[in-house]
Order: sequence, then structure tokens, then C-alpha cells
Amino acid sequence: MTSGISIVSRSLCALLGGYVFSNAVALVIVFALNGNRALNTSAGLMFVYAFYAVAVIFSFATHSAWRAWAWVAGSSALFFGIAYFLSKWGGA
Amino acid sequence: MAERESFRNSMRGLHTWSGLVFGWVLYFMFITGATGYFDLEVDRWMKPEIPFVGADVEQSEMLAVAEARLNEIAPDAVNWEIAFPAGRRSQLQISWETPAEEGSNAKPIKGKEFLDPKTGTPYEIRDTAGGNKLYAMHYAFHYLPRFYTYKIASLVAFFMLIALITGVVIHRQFFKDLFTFRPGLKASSWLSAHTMLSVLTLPYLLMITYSGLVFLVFRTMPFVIAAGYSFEEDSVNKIRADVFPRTVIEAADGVKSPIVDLGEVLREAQPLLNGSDATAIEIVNRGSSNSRVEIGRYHHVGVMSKKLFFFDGVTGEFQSEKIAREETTKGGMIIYRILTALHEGQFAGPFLRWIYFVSALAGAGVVASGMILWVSKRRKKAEKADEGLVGLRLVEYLNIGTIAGLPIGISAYFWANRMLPLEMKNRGDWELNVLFIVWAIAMTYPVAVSRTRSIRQAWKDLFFLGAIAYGVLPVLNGLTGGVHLGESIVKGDWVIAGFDLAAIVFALLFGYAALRGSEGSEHSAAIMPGGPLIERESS
Repeated sequence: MTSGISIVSRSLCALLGGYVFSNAVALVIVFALNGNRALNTSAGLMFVYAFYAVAVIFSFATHSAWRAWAWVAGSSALFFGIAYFLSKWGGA
Repeated sequence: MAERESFRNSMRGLHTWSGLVFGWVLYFMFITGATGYFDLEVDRWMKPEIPFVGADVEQSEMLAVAEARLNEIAPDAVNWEIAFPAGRRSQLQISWETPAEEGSNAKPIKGKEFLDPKTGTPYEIRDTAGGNKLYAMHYAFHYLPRFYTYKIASLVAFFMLIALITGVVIHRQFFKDLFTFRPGLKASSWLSAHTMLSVLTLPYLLMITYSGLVFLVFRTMPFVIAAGYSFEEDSVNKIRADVFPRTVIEAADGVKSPIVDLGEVLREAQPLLNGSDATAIEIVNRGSSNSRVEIGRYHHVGVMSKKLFFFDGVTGEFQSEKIAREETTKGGMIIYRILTALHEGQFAGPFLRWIYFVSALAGAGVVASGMILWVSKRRKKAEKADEGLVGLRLVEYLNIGTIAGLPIGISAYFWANRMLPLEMKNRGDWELNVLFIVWAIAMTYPVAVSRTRSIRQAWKDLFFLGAIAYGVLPVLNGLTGGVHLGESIVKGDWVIAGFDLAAIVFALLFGYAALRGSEGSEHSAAIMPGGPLIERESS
């Protein structure tokens, strides 16, 4: 992969993938808390941009664009799974 | 070791590009946002018809004249607000509103007046966009529908966050560059300016950037909200109603009901106010059974500065407990309230307020020096290879047009406030139009004169123009109905005097920047952006 395509790919992974990833982690927080839904949701929202930033930095720090996509997609799926599990069986 | 180096390299690239891509928008946000710390002060300067009056009138009397005026001008309005002179606000102000009915095309009826606190006579004030529109552009921009503006502002702020984090990661490299003597590398003085400004303001920059993102997070992360609310319809409005009950006021139910006497409520509130004066009193849904009275006061607990007391608008019964629900004061909302309070700095006294203002301008300086650095670093390379000059030139033109041009546009906003005919239609909108027209002209200036004037001369020309535009503002103020500097200082009207003195300081700074880059100055090649390239051109 040429470096131009790699940069475009990483950028997409960072901005789009990172957004999805940040939402997934925020939802884990939302469903792990045991207050009411307004409190839980707002708590998740407070950290969402921090997770977004982590994903962006990771996308550019890792060895290849493929790895970036794999990790961001994989961990998003994992966190969405945890969030789903918590929303059904855990939390409040 | 190589791994660490490649990590730092990729972070350096990320820092450079995330800072550059929206750099000019960031600069705009920092500059216009900085004016927000003095929005009321700027507003007063732009309304010279309002005299400087010390508040020696009893609050109950002011309430009486304000109510009389509201009854005269807006007897049927659904919401009334009376703001007393308090804190940074030195006038008695009334406003009224009848919201448009949901689904109808009718516009809401709104109005606002400043009153003589003794007689209740409204001052005749020019139509102006004032201090409020100027600072609100730092997140709402202008000419753009609100649906996009919050998202754009958040995206740009997020790029700033990335630039900050990566900047910290690569800071060691910065310091190495800073302390390594490399003769002939003209970028180094810009690097040191960029580094020094960033390091000094880093806590402020991190705070203002993250809190800005949190401010708008209820608008930018709809999926988290939807999922948190079990994918019910209208979840964004539902969470807003839950966590900001103050901002979501249910519509008037239309059940005809008596209206409580506001003077009575104010008296009833005295023990709650605990000796301090009320800052504002507001009645919503007047004449309906779900009417409510809100009394505000400044209340300093750490950074949180405002407290509201709620009363029933029909019976006058105290009902704060019903409205201040736990959602607004617990969990994530504590973080939200602390961050947004830090962002706005409402709690700040004069000294801290100036620190806020200077920090925000320094933030603009960080962005500006970074963008200039981008050019200086690449110029040498481009010169050698004789390529890549188009992109370099574009960035350079945008830098001149924005870094020097935007402040000129803002000065034109103040000039327009005094020069546009008073009877002009949509005068306030035109003040803003003038800002953008002048900025656009400043943007095209370096391109237009590129054949006859060097980049460095274009910088100097605009800085010089900025020095004149700001330097003459205090004179213009005195000539066009404002209180001139001699009088405002003697009278102790520090709001007006402060504005004029700040204009003079900006004029001096621009003048310094213009002179510093003059041909004769021995440092000029290193200091002025555009130095080396020009020398090559002129030789």
C-alpha cells in the first residue's frame, strides 16, 4: 500500500472508526452504571471525546493502516458486545 | 529505539496536519471566543446611547418601573424577564417573548429594552449586533444553519484536541529543536514562539478545548443518547429535558389563571437570597396555570456562579425542589457543569477575566504561530527542490488573510457600529456583513498585490492597517456619541475606558509587528514570516 492511500485509510479509520469506537466505550460506561438513564447517559457522554482521541492517536501510531482498522473495528465490536450484555443482564 | 522514533514521527505528522487543516477556523474560534469574556463590556461600547449610571435605586423600585414598562409595551407576552444592574451588568434591562406555536410558521415575538432605572423610560438604542453576536460566532459561526454549526465547531475543536495531545507527546522533540543551535534555520524562532506559548497556556488550552466539546456533546453524539434511552423516539430532547429542566420549558397550557405579583415574590425570596441582590427575575407562561417565576442571583461556590430559585407563577409558592432534580446535579452532570462553568468563566472577577481573555488570545497565537511555522519549515525545502510552491503559497495567503485579516475585520465591525446610518434597515446584520466583507478583502489583498509586493510586505501592510484601525477607534468613539477616553477615565467608567485602552494596546501590537518586519531590521528575516523567500525574490 502506498503511503498516500495509507494516510487516507488511517484518516478514515481515525475519524469514522474512532467515532464508532468512542460511542461503543461510552455505552459500556452508560450501561455499567446503576443510576437512572439520564445520569448514566450523561456520564458516558462526558468521556466520549477522550476515547475518540485515543482511537485517532492509535490509528496513526500503529504499524499499518490494516492493523489500525482491525483493532478499531475489533475493539468497537467487543465494546458494543459488552455494552449490549450489560444493557440486558447487568447494571441497574 | 527505531520504533519509538517512528511513533514520534507519526505523532509529529498528526500534530502538524490536525493543526493545519482547520487552523484558520480555530484561529477564528479563539479570537471571537476571546471577546466572549467581555461580551457585556463590548456590548455597552456598541450602545453609546446608554449612559453610565451607578445603581443607587432600590431594587423594588426598579422592579416596579420595569413592570410598568412591560405592561405598557408587551402586556400579552408569554414570558417576561427583568435583569437588574448587578455584577458586570450596569443597566436595568427588560425583555419579553411570545414563542411561536409549535408547527406554525409564525415567528416568535421578541423584544428587549434598556431602561432608565429611576423613571423606567427606555433608552433609544441603535440597532446593533453587539457583543453577543460577536462572541457567539465562536461556536455558531454566521450565515450557516444551526444544524451544521455545532457539528462543525465540535469537529474543529476535536482536531485541536488531537493537536494538543500529539503536541505533548512530541514535546521532547520540540525542546530539542529549541535548544539546538542550528544556524541558518529560520524556522527556529517561530518554533520557539509556538512552543513557549503552547507550554504556558497548555492547561487553559486543554480545558477550553475539552470543555467546548462537552458543551456540545448532547448535539454531537446522538447514538449514545439513543442507546442510553432504549432507542425511544426523540431521545435527544428527552435527555435535554431530564438534565436541563431549566432550558426546556413546557408550553403555556392556556388555562386562564391569575398572575402573581412579582414584587411579592421578590420579597418572599429575600431570605433565600441571603443578603445578596437578585440579578434577574423572569416569569414564564404568564397567565397560564403552569406559569413559573425564576429569580437568579450570583452565587459563588467554586466555579459555579449562578443560582436560580423557582416559584409558582400563579400562587407565588416556592417550588425549587420540584425543578432541581437529581439529574441536574449528579454523576456526569457534575462534570458537565464544572467544565462548562470553567469554559464560560462567569465566576471570574476582573483580574481572572483578563487572564482568560489573554489566554484565549494566546490560544489564537499558538494556532497562528503553528501555521506560520508550517510555512517556514517547508520554504527552504521547496526552494531547493523548486517545487510544492503552490500549496505553500496558498497556506501563506490564508495565513496573512486570516491572522492579520480577521482582527481587521473585527475592527471594521466596531467601525460599522459607529459609521452605518442609524436608520439603516437590518443595521445589526450589516455590522456583521461589514466584518466579513472587510475580512474577505483582507484575504484577497496578498493575492491581489502578489505581483508588486512581497509576502512580507503584504504582512506589513495589513499589520499597519490593523494598527490604524484599532488606534483610531478611541477617537471615533469620542466623535460618534461615545464617552471619550479622557472623560471615561475621570468618571471611572472602566467598561468604556477599558475597551478604548485595549484598542490602543492592540494598535501598538500591530504597529510593533509591522515595524519589526521592516527591511532595515536585522532580525526581520528570522522574525517576519515570508522572510527568506522574499530575499531570494528581490536578489
